[in-house]
Amino acid sequence: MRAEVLLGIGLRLLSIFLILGPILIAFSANNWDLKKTLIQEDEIKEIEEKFSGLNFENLELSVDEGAIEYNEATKFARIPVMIYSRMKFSFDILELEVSVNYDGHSTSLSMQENRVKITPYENTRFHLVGVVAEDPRGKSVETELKLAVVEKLGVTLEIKPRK
Amino acid sequence: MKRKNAINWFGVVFGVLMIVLPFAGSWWMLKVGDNAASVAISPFNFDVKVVGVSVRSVLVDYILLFSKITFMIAGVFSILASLFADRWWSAKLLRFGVMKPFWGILTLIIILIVGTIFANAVLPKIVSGMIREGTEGGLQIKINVPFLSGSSKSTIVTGDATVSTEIRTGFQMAFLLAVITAGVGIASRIYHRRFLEKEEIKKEKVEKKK
Repeated sequence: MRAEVLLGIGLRLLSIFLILGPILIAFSANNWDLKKTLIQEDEIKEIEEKFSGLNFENLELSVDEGAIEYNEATKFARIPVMIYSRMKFSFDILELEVSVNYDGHSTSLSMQENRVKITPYENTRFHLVGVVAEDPRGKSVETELKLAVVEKLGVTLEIKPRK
Repeated sequence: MKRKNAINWFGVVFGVLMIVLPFAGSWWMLKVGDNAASVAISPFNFDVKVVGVSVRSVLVDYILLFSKITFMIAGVFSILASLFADRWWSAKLLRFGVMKPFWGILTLIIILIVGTIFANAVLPKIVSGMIREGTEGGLQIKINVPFLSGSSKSTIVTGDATVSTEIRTGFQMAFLLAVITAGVGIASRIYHRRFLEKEEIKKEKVEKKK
Protein backbone atom coordinates (compact mmCIF):
# COMPACT_ATOMS: atom_id res chain seq x y z
CA MET A 1 0.00 0.00 0.00
CA ARG A 2 2.85 2.35 0.92
CA ALA A 3 4.67 1.61 -2.34
CA GLU A 4 1.46 2.31 -4.26
CA VAL A 5 1.12 5.74 -2.62
CA LEU A 6 4.80 6.51 -3.26
CA LEU A 7 4.45 5.56 -6.92
CA GLY A 8 1.37 7.79 -7.19
CA ILE A 9 3.25 10.72 -5.66
CA GLY A 10 6.30 10.05 -7.88
CA LEU A 11 4.23 10.02 -11.06
CA ARG A 12 2.43 13.20 -10.04
CA LEU A 13 5.74 14.96 -9.32
CA LEU A 14 7.08 13.78 -12.69
CA SER A 15 4.01 15.27 -14.42
CA ILE A 16 4.49 18.59 -12.61
CA PHE A 17 8.20 18.65 -13.55
CA LEU A 18 7.40 17.91 -17.21
CA ILE A 19 4.92 20.81 -17.29
CA LEU A 20 6.82 23.43 -15.27
CA GLY A 21 10.35 22.32 -16.22
CA PRO A 22 10.43 23.75 -19.76
CA ILE A 23 8.97 27.08 -18.63
CA LEU A 24 11.53 27.49 -15.83
CA ILE A 25 14.47 26.33 -17.99
CA ALA A 26 13.49 28.63 -20.89
CA PHE A 27 13.21 31.68 -18.65
CA SER A 28 16.39 30.94 -16.67
CA ALA A 29 18.33 30.40 -19.92
CA ASN A 30 17.32 33.94 -20.96
CA ASN A 31 17.93 35.64 -17.59
CA TRP A 32 14.15 35.80 -16.92
CA ASP A 33 13.72 38.22 -19.86
CA LEU A 34 10.13 37.75 -21.08
CA LYS A 35 10.69 39.22 -24.57
CA LYS A 36 13.84 37.18 -25.27
CA THR A 37 12.15 34.01 -24.05
CA LEU A 38 9.08 34.49 -26.21
CA ILE A 39 10.53 35.87 -29.46
CA GLN A 40 13.89 35.72 -31.21
CA GLU A 41 14.34 39.32 -32.38
CA ASP A 42 17.06 38.50 -34.94
CA GLU A 43 14.58 36.48 -37.01
CA ILE A 44 11.97 39.25 -36.92
CA LYS A 45 14.64 41.71 -38.10
CA GLU A 46 15.62 39.33 -40.90
CA ILE A 47 11.99 39.24 -42.10
CA GLU A 48 11.72 43.03 -41.90
CA GLU A 49 14.97 43.31 -43.88
CA LYS A 50 13.53 41.05 -46.60
CA PHE A 51 10.46 43.27 -46.95
CA SER A 52 12.36 46.56 -46.89
CA GLY A 53 12.46 48.43 -50.18
CA LEU A 54 9.02 47.16 -51.19
CA ASN A 55 8.12 50.36 -52.98
CA PHE A 56 7.27 50.78 -56.64
CA GLU A 57 9.24 54.00 -56.73
CA ASN A 58 12.23 51.64 -56.68
CA LEU A 59 11.35 50.55 -60.22
CA GLU A 60 12.68 52.58 -63.14
CA LEU A 61 11.19 52.28 -66.62
CA SER A 62 13.08 53.47 -69.69
CA VAL A 63 12.03 53.13 -73.31
CA ASP A 64 14.52 51.77 -75.86
CA GLU A 65 13.42 54.39 -78.41
CA GLY A 66 15.71 53.13 -81.15
CA ALA A 67 14.04 49.71 -81.24
CA ILE A 68 10.37 50.75 -81.44
CA GLU A 69 8.35 48.81 -84.02
CA TYR A 70 5.33 50.33 -85.70
CA ASN A 71 2.92 49.06 -88.34
CA GLU A 72 1.53 51.99 -90.29
CA ALA A 73 -1.40 49.99 -91.72
CA THR A 74 -2.71 48.74 -88.39
CA LYS A 75 -1.20 51.52 -86.21
CA PHE A 76 0.05 48.77 -83.94
CA ALA A 77 3.13 49.66 -81.91
CA ARG A 78 5.59 47.43 -80.07
CA ILE A 79 7.71 49.44 -77.66
CA PRO A 80 10.70 47.82 -75.92
CA VAL A 81 11.04 48.91 -72.31
CA MET A 82 13.87 48.32 -69.85
CA ILE A 83 12.96 47.97 -66.22
CA TYR A 84 15.55 48.40 -63.46
CA SER A 85 14.70 47.27 -59.93
CA ARG A 86 16.28 48.57 -56.75
CA MET A 87 14.15 46.18 -54.66
CA LYS A 88 16.15 43.63 -52.71
CA PHE A 89 14.24 40.59 -53.97
CA SER A 90 13.21 39.14 -57.29
CA PHE A 91 9.57 38.94 -58.37
CA ASP A 92 7.44 38.31 -61.44
CA ILE A 93 5.39 40.90 -63.31
CA LEU A 94 2.17 39.27 -64.50
CA GLU A 95 0.42 42.28 -65.94
CA LEU A 96 1.46 45.83 -66.71
CA GLU A 97 -0.47 48.74 -68.09
CA VAL A 98 1.58 51.81 -68.95
CA SER A 99 0.55 55.15 -70.34
CA VAL A 100 2.99 56.19 -73.08
CA ASN A 101 3.23 59.89 -73.84
CA TYR A 102 4.85 61.50 -76.86
CA ASP A 103 4.09 64.53 -79.01
CA GLY A 104 1.15 65.40 -76.79
CA HIS A 105 -0.44 61.98 -77.38
CA SER A 106 -1.19 59.64 -74.50
CA THR A 107 -2.05 55.98 -75.05
CA SER A 108 -2.40 53.09 -72.66
CA LEU A 109 -0.39 50.02 -73.66
CA SER A 110 -0.15 46.55 -72.11
CA MET A 111 2.76 44.20 -71.57
CA GLN A 112 3.13 41.69 -74.38
CA GLU A 113 4.81 38.97 -72.29
CA ASN A 114 2.73 36.78 -69.96
CA ARG A 115 5.29 36.87 -67.17
CA VAL A 116 8.53 38.79 -66.73
CA LYS A 117 11.01 37.94 -63.98
CA ILE A 118 12.55 41.00 -62.35
CA THR A 119 15.94 40.49 -60.70
CA PRO A 120 17.35 42.97 -58.14
CA TYR A 121 19.73 45.61 -59.52
CA GLU A 122 19.46 44.33 -63.07
CA ASN A 123 17.86 45.60 -66.27
CA THR A 124 15.07 43.44 -67.69
CA ARG A 125 13.57 43.94 -71.11
CA PHE A 126 9.90 43.55 -71.99
CA HIS A 127 7.53 45.00 -74.59
CA LEU A 128 4.50 47.26 -74.48
CA VAL A 129 2.03 46.68 -77.29
CA GLY A 130 -1.17 48.26 -78.53
CA VAL A 131 -2.73 50.53 -81.11
CA VAL A 132 -1.46 54.12 -81.01
CA ALA A 133 -2.69 57.30 -82.65
CA GLU A 134 0.65 58.42 -84.06
CA ASP A 135 3.90 56.77 -85.11
CA PRO A 136 6.10 56.78 -81.95
CA ARG A 137 9.34 56.06 -83.81
CA GLY A 138 12.02 58.72 -83.47
CA LYS A 139 10.15 60.51 -80.73
CA SER A 140 10.88 61.01 -77.08
CA VAL A 141 8.53 58.58 -75.31
CA GLU A 142 7.69 58.99 -71.64
CA THR A 143 6.02 56.31 -69.54
CA GLU A 144 3.65 56.41 -66.61
CA LEU A 145 2.64 53.30 -64.67
CA LYS A 146 -1.14 52.76 -64.62
CA LEU A 147 -1.47 49.21 -63.35
CA ALA A 148 0.97 46.55 -62.21
CA VAL A 149 0.21 43.03 -61.11
CA VAL A 150 3.22 41.35 -59.55
CA GLU A 151 3.70 38.01 -57.87
CA LYS A 152 6.14 36.73 -55.28
CA LEU A 153 5.91 33.28 -53.63
CA GLY A 154 2.26 32.89 -54.63
CA VAL A 155 1.24 36.28 -53.23
CA THR A 156 -0.21 38.63 -55.85
CA LEU A 157 0.05 42.39 -55.49
CA GLU A 158 -2.03 44.63 -57.74
CA ILE A 159 -1.14 48.31 -57.78
CA LYS A 160 -2.96 51.20 -59.37
CA PRO A 161 -0.84 54.25 -58.58
CA ARG A 162 -2.88 57.37 -58.05
CA LYS A 163 -1.94 60.63 -59.77
CA MET B 1 6.87 -23.29 -11.83
CA LYS B 2 7.85 -20.19 -13.78
CA ARG B 3 5.19 -17.47 -13.62
CA LYS B 4 3.75 -16.50 -16.99
CA ASN B 5 3.41 -12.75 -17.49
CA ALA B 6 -0.03 -11.38 -18.35
CA ILE B 7 0.47 -9.08 -21.34
CA ASN B 8 -1.74 -6.24 -22.50
CA TRP B 9 -0.86 -6.28 -26.20
CA PHE B 10 -2.84 -3.12 -26.90
CA GLY B 11 -0.65 -1.38 -24.33
CA VAL B 12 2.55 -2.68 -25.91
CA VAL B 13 1.51 -1.37 -29.34
CA PHE B 14 0.42 1.91 -27.74
CA GLY B 15 3.79 2.26 -26.02
CA VAL B 16 5.70 1.73 -29.27
CA LEU B 17 3.46 4.25 -31.06
CA MET B 18 4.02 6.77 -28.24
CA ILE B 19 7.79 6.52 -28.75
CA VAL B 20 7.47 6.84 -32.56
CA LEU B 21 4.85 9.65 -32.61
CA PRO B 22 7.13 12.59 -31.59
CA PHE B 23 9.33 11.87 -34.62
CA ALA B 24 6.51 11.43 -37.15
CA GLY B 25 6.33 15.12 -38.11
CA SER B 26 3.73 17.84 -37.89
CA TRP B 27 0.03 17.07 -37.48
CA TRP B 28 -1.42 20.13 -39.21
CA MET B 29 -0.10 22.62 -41.70
CA LEU B 30 -1.02 26.04 -43.06
CA LYS B 31 0.56 27.45 -46.21
CA VAL B 32 0.26 30.98 -47.53
CA GLY B 33 0.78 31.27 -51.28
CA ASP B 34 3.72 29.34 -52.63
CA ASN B 35 5.56 29.06 -49.28
CA ALA B 36 5.39 32.81 -48.62
CA ALA B 37 4.57 31.73 -45.09
CA SER B 38 3.85 28.41 -43.45
CA VAL B 39 2.87 27.06 -40.06
CA ALA B 40 3.36 23.39 -39.17
CA ILE B 41 2.19 22.28 -35.75
CA SER B 42 1.87 19.27 -33.48
CA PRO B 43 2.48 18.84 -29.73
CA PHE B 44 6.15 18.33 -30.71
CA ASN B 45 6.64 20.86 -33.54
CA PHE B 46 5.81 24.49 -34.02
CA ASP B 47 7.50 25.51 -37.22
CA VAL B 48 6.62 29.01 -38.44
CA LYS B 49 8.32 30.29 -41.57
CA VAL B 50 7.85 33.69 -43.17
CA VAL B 51 9.55 34.20 -46.57
CA GLY B 52 11.84 31.29 -45.72
CA VAL B 53 12.88 32.64 -42.32
CA SER B 54 12.02 30.47 -39.31
CA VAL B 55 10.37 32.31 -36.45
CA ARG B 56 11.32 30.61 -33.20
CA SER B 57 10.65 31.00 -29.51
CA VAL B 58 12.90 29.58 -26.81
CA LEU B 59 9.91 28.97 -24.56
CA VAL B 60 7.98 27.09 -27.24
CA ASP B 61 11.10 25.06 -28.16
CA TYR B 62 11.51 23.89 -24.55
CA ILE B 63 7.80 23.13 -24.12
CA LEU B 64 7.89 21.02 -27.30
CA LEU B 65 11.08 19.24 -26.21
CA PHE B 66 9.50 18.34 -22.89
CA SER B 67 6.34 17.26 -24.69
CA LYS B 68 8.47 14.83 -26.71
CA ILE B 69 10.14 13.56 -23.53
CA THR B 70 6.73 13.17 -21.84
CA PHE B 71 5.38 11.07 -24.70
CA MET B 72 8.50 8.90 -24.75
CA ILE B 73 8.41 8.35 -20.99
CA ALA B 74 4.71 7.53 -21.27
CA GLY B 75 5.58 5.07 -24.06
CA VAL B 76 8.21 3.28 -21.96
CA PHE B 77 5.84 3.21 -18.95
CA SER B 78 3.05 1.79 -21.12
CA ILE B 79 5.30 -0.96 -22.48
CA LEU B 80 6.45 -1.92 -18.97
CA ALA B 81 2.90 -1.75 -17.61
CA SER B 82 1.58 -3.85 -20.47
CA LEU B 83 4.31 -6.51 -20.30
CA PHE B 84 3.63 -6.94 -16.58
CA ALA B 85 -0.09 -6.25 -16.72
CA ASP B 86 -0.96 -8.14 -13.52
CA ARG B 87 1.46 -6.28 -11.24
CA TRP B 88 0.16 -3.78 -8.71
CA TRP B 89 2.04 -0.86 -10.32
CA SER B 90 0.94 -1.68 -13.86
CA ALA B 91 -2.32 0.30 -13.93
CA LYS B 92 -0.71 3.41 -12.45
CA LEU B 93 2.10 3.40 -15.01
CA LEU B 94 -0.30 2.84 -17.89
CA ARG B 95 -2.58 5.65 -16.72
CA PHE B 96 0.39 8.10 -16.77
CA GLY B 97 0.24 8.53 -20.53
CA VAL B 98 -2.65 6.55 -21.91
CA MET B 99 -4.90 9.54 -22.52
CA LYS B 100 -2.16 11.99 -23.58
CA PRO B 101 -2.57 11.55 -27.37
CA PHE B 102 -6.35 11.89 -27.03
CA TRP B 103 -6.01 15.15 -25.08
CA GLY B 104 -3.29 16.26 -27.50
CA ILE B 105 -5.62 15.82 -30.47
CA LEU B 106 -8.51 17.52 -28.69
CA THR B 107 -6.33 20.46 -27.60
CA LEU B 108 -4.93 20.88 -31.12
CA ILE B 109 -8.41 20.94 -32.67
CA ILE B 110 -9.64 23.48 -30.09
CA ILE B 111 -6.56 25.67 -30.70
CA LEU B 112 -7.08 25.46 -34.48
CA ILE B 113 -10.76 26.39 -34.26
CA VAL B 114 -10.14 29.28 -31.86
CA GLY B 115 -7.09 30.39 -33.90
CA THR B 116 -9.07 30.33 -37.14
CA ILE B 117 -11.92 32.35 -35.65
CA PHE B 118 -9.34 34.83 -34.33
CA ALA B 119 -7.53 35.08 -37.69
CA ASN B 120 -10.75 35.47 -39.70
CA ALA B 121 -12.82 37.70 -37.44
CA VAL B 122 -10.59 39.50 -34.95
CA LEU B 123 -7.18 39.88 -36.62
CA PRO B 124 -8.44 41.94 -39.62
CA LYS B 125 -10.03 44.45 -37.24
CA ILE B 126 -6.86 44.74 -35.15
CA VAL B 127 -4.59 45.15 -38.21
CA SER B 128 -7.00 47.61 -39.89
CA GLY B 129 -7.08 49.67 -36.71
CA MET B 130 -3.27 49.70 -36.55
CA ILE B 131 -2.70 50.61 -40.20
CA ARG B 132 -5.73 52.78 -40.99
CA GLU B 133 -4.09 55.94 -39.72
CA GLY B 134 -2.04 57.37 -42.57
CA THR B 135 -3.49 55.07 -45.21
CA GLU B 136 -5.26 56.94 -47.97
CA GLY B 137 -8.45 55.42 -49.29
CA GLY B 138 -8.98 53.14 -46.30
CA LEU B 139 -7.96 49.59 -45.64
CA GLN B 140 -9.97 46.42 -46.10
CA ILE B 141 -8.62 43.13 -44.86
CA LYS B 142 -10.42 39.91 -45.64
CA ILE B 143 -8.66 36.89 -44.22
CA ASN B 144 -10.23 33.50 -44.90
CA VAL B 145 -8.32 30.76 -43.14
CA PRO B 146 -10.15 27.50 -43.85
CA PHE B 147 -11.44 25.69 -40.79
CA LEU B 148 -9.12 22.73 -40.11
CA SER B 149 -8.70 21.71 -43.76
CA GLY B 150 -9.22 23.29 -47.17
CA SER B 151 -8.15 26.29 -49.23
CA SER B 152 -9.40 29.83 -49.62
CA LYS B 153 -8.40 33.23 -50.90
CA SER B 154 -7.51 36.16 -48.68
CA THR B 155 -7.21 39.80 -49.72
CA ILE B 156 -5.91 43.04 -48.27
CA VAL B 157 -7.03 46.21 -50.03
CA THR B 158 -5.39 49.53 -49.26
CA GLY B 159 -5.82 52.81 -51.13
CA ASP B 160 -4.04 51.83 -54.35
CA ALA B 161 -2.90 48.25 -53.78
CA THR B 162 -4.58 44.88 -53.47
CA VAL B 163 -2.70 41.93 -52.03
CA SER B 164 -4.27 38.54 -52.59
CA THR B 165 -3.11 35.03 -51.89
CA GLU B 166 -4.32 31.52 -51.37
CA ILE B 167 -4.28 29.96 -47.91
CA ARG B 168 -4.24 26.18 -47.66
CA THR B 169 -4.65 24.16 -44.49
CA GLY B 170 -4.75 20.45 -43.85
CA PHE B 171 -3.96 17.57 -41.54
CA GLN B 172 -0.81 15.60 -42.20
CA MET B 173 -0.18 11.84 -42.13
CA ALA B 174 1.27 12.11 -38.61
CA PHE B 175 -2.17 13.23 -37.41
CA LEU B 176 -3.61 9.92 -38.59
CA LEU B 177 -0.91 8.14 -36.60
CA ALA B 178 -1.87 10.27 -33.57
CA VAL B 179 -5.55 9.29 -33.96
CA ILE B 180 -4.56 5.60 -34.21
CA THR B 181 -2.32 6.00 -31.13
CA ALA B 182 -5.15 7.66 -29.18
CA GLY B 183 -7.54 4.86 -30.23
CA VAL B 184 -5.10 2.10 -29.26
CA GLY B 185 -4.45 3.96 -25.97
CA ILE B 186 -8.15 3.98 -25.08
CA ALA B 187 -8.43 0.31 -26.09
CA SER B 188 -5.43 -0.59 -23.93
CA ARG B 189 -6.96 1.22 -20.95
CA ILE B 190 -10.24 -0.66 -21.35
CA TYR B 191 -8.45 -3.98 -21.94
CA HIS B 192 -6.28 -3.41 -18.85
CA ARG B 193 -9.37 -3.59 -16.62
CA ARG B 194 -9.46 -7.39 -16.95
CA PHE B 195 -6.00 -7.55 -15.32
CA LEU B 196 -7.15 -5.23 -12.54
CA GLU B 197 -10.16 -7.46 -11.88
CA LYS B 198 -7.84 -10.49 -11.65
CA GLU B 199 -5.56 -8.56 -9.29
CA GLU B 200 -8.54 -7.64 -7.09
CA ILE B 201 -9.71 -11.29 -6.96
CA LYS B 202 -6.18 -12.31 -5.94
CA LYS B 203 -6.14 -9.68 -3.20
CA GLU B 204 -9.54 -10.83 -1.91
CA LYS B 205 -8.28 -14.45 -1.80
CA VAL B 206 -5.18 -13.43 0.16
CA GLU B 207 -7.29 -11.43 2.61
CA LYS B 208 -9.71 -14.39 3.06
CA LYS B 209 -6.78 -16.74 3.79
CA LYS B 210 -5.55 -14.32 6.44
